Amino acid sequence: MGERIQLEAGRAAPARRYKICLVSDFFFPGFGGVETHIFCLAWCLKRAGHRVVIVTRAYNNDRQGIRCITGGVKVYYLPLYSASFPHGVSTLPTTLDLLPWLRHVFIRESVDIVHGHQTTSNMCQEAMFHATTMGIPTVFTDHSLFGFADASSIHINKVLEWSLQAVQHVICVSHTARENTVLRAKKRPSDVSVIPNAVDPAKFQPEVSIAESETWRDIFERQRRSLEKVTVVVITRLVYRKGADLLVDVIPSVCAKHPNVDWIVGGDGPRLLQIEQMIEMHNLHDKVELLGAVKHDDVPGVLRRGQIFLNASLTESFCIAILEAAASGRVVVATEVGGVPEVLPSDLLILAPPDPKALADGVTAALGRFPSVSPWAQHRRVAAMYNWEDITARTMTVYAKVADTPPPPLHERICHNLALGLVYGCLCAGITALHHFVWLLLKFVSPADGIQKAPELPAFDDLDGTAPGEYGKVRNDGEQ
Amino acid sequence: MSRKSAKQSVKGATREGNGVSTATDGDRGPGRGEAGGDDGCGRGGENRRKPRPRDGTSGADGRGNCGDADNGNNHNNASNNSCSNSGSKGNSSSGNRNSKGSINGKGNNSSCGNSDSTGNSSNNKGNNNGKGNNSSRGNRDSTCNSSKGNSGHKANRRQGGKALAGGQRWQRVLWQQTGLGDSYVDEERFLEGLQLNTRVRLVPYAQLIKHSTAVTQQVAVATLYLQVFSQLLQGRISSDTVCAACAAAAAAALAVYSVCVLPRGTSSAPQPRADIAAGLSELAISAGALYFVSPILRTLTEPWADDTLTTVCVLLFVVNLATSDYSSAGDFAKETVSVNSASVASVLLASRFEEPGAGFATIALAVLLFTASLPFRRFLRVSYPDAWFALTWLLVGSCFASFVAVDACWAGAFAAVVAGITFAIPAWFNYEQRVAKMQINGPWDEARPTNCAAAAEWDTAGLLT
Repeated sequence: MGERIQLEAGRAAPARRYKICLVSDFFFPGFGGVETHIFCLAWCLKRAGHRVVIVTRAYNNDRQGIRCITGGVKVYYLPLYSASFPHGVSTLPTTLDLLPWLRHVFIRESVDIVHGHQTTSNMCQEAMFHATTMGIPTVFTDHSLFGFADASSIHINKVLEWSLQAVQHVICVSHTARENTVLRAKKRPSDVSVIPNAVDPAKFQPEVSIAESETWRDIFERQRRSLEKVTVVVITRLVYRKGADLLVDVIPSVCAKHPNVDWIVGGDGPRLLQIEQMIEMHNLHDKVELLGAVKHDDVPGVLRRGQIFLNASLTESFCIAILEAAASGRVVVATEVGGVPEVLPSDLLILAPPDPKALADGVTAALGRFPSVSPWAQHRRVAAMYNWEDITARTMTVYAKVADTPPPPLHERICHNLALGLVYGCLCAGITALHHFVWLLLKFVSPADGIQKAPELPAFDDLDGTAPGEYGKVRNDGEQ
Repeated sequence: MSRKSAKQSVKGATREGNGVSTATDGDRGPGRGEAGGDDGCGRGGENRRKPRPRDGTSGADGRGNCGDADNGNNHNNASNNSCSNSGSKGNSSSGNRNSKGSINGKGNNSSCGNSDSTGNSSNNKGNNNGKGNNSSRGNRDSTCNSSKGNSGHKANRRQGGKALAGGQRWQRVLWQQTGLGDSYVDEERFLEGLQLNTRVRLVPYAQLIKHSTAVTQQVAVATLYLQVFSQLLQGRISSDTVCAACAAAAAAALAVYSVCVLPRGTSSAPQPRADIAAGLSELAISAGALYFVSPILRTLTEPWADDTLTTVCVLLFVVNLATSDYSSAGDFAKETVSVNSASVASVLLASRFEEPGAGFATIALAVLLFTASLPFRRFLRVSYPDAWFALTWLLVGSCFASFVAVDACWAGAFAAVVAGITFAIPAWFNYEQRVAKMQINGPWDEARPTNCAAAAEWDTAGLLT
């Protein structure tokens, strides 16, 4: 550690290289915002010269064991039992269950920093806890918003408060999310950074057939299409939280106002029946097309079928769907909830309160705006605003901040835990002490020296300049 | 940590980061004592952590806060003055999107002819650069403005945000970096959307006592029954006295009911005369059956020890008290679990008597107190609340008197329990509501769709957590 490596012309490696362990229950082959974030972050960190390993749970019948993904990032799919919770499929909440596994992984991979993702991921919370026990600095990224009043949120917040006591730094994906996390976990605001998600511009871009400076008006003229024959695309899980009920009212009213507008609704969920009933009732069979569940690889194609994208979510901490649509050159209409207003400037994003009439007005406004929008110009703008390299650079700043500060020692942690409350504090302090004891036991039973350190897999970048015979050899460039 | 210190830590969390001085009445929240209605309106300064200047620009703040606290009503009040604010009005991104009471922004759309602030989010405040210069983009659509009108109360953000180079201010946006670092906490704009205790309804102490009287009444009823049972068991009262008292009480209740209800009829009993006749005949039949069956009861719990029986009966009465419906709107027919548990307990206890007459008397008393009195008490509570209140104290008094006659210790315990339930616990609840309540709302809340029938259906079905 400590040498500068020139990876590519114009891209200098960071002054220090860390071994980052990204931990979460949510990773590929599951799909969602968290998964994409972890993957893109891992990829960019690796390209920036850091070493990355990802730890997640096994996806039964599909994936278990150790895999490598693109870029030479190792992924541990730990064979743990997982269950379907309201917030997603994750491992069961335990405290000691993962300690031996994670200790082994952390020692084997010589992990410098543990970065956990998502509050509702049990593996993440446990990993951060065990890393703190072992003296490894931790970082946490929170991807969702939570309330304060319902029973599940109260419990999650309580656990998060305990969990984040020992985490050195927290990253939130929007300013609203930061405020939410600060209030929930009672964390100091200056210990929380705001680093948003980003979008992959190569994947989400307008059609190649569109010229750089063409606006939609030009495109429609070229296609000899009336400016009124517009398609609105909605891709969302059809659940209450994502505003599927609003769609039931918005679609008919827009169709009534603008008879030439077509709709494409992608996604599946419990409210699909409602949408189908709505189509039946208003006789919109030729106007609304239901696609069912859309695979992530197909999303760019579906987006390109429309000119306007509508997102009616009732709560979003950072809506990646909006970014994807905007990067594809589409005009975006979204509900003004959570962190959505912070994502794009008003000329790229039309906001409306979660009211069907207002959303319909928003779609009307989009119809008025879209002729003058140039898809590629918008794509360039969005790509300039959000790109994964920038996000990674900001994350590396956070890593640099925490890398040199080890977590607090045991007695400090126990004191902080006791401050959580009369009964809860004692419980937490007890668990912390128990963990420490079990860790000492594990150190005795399976000492760190006995665990073989894993060699670093060469990334394809590093092969430039390597002699053919050397491919596959372990590179001894100062790794410990 | 205790809730109070949790509150302080929330204040501290913001203070440490940004040195903001919170609203004066921070800990106490809004002015208390208003029963029922929300008093968020006009108390914006106290509700919020950060007091807002009461100038024209933030007159909208008060309105906004008003509307937010107003649980879904569309406010179309005198917020139009906010529309006349030039330029700065726009709609802030961090606005009070308190969705549960989200205002339908229609109130201030049509009158808003703001050309330079239509469709703005806060990132355009004070930004006179090319970014999002609306007039050039022709985005004057007033409907756009209407759709965001509801957060117009977060209007004037010109004052907010740290001043940066180039005359700009720090904005709550993610697409633009300021160079201040990702963990920069802006003193003025951090937690600006936070709302504490805006929808807390404080019930005055007197009303709390009235509500808790329902519990006291049920406790008194149960205690009365147990007391009569023990007196019967000890032979201090004769079973004839008990039967006579039951009959007298039933007759009195019937008299009251016929005087008050029969002339008018009630919505649930359109044919009261027929109902009463039917009810009386049923009562007579079942009473007769019970009387003839009661000798068999004697052997029911013969092998049971006294302790077992006591434990079981105590548990059953606990179930009765726990599952009784104490609300004033409930239908007594739904109280199946509580009535059944009390009946089971009474049958078990009645089986302890040697002479069948006493067993019959016990069961008759139980039926009167736990089953038959329910509709009567419900009727009293709905139609004559004062009489119902008096009935409670009559029952409590008679229990107390019977305890005093027997054992002062029990009397004291009973009095303590009654005082605790009726006075002490509501007082504690009141205290906790006023001091420790911390209801946090803000832009992170899940939005409540307005004017949406499909969403409302989800809600009324009780499927939303």
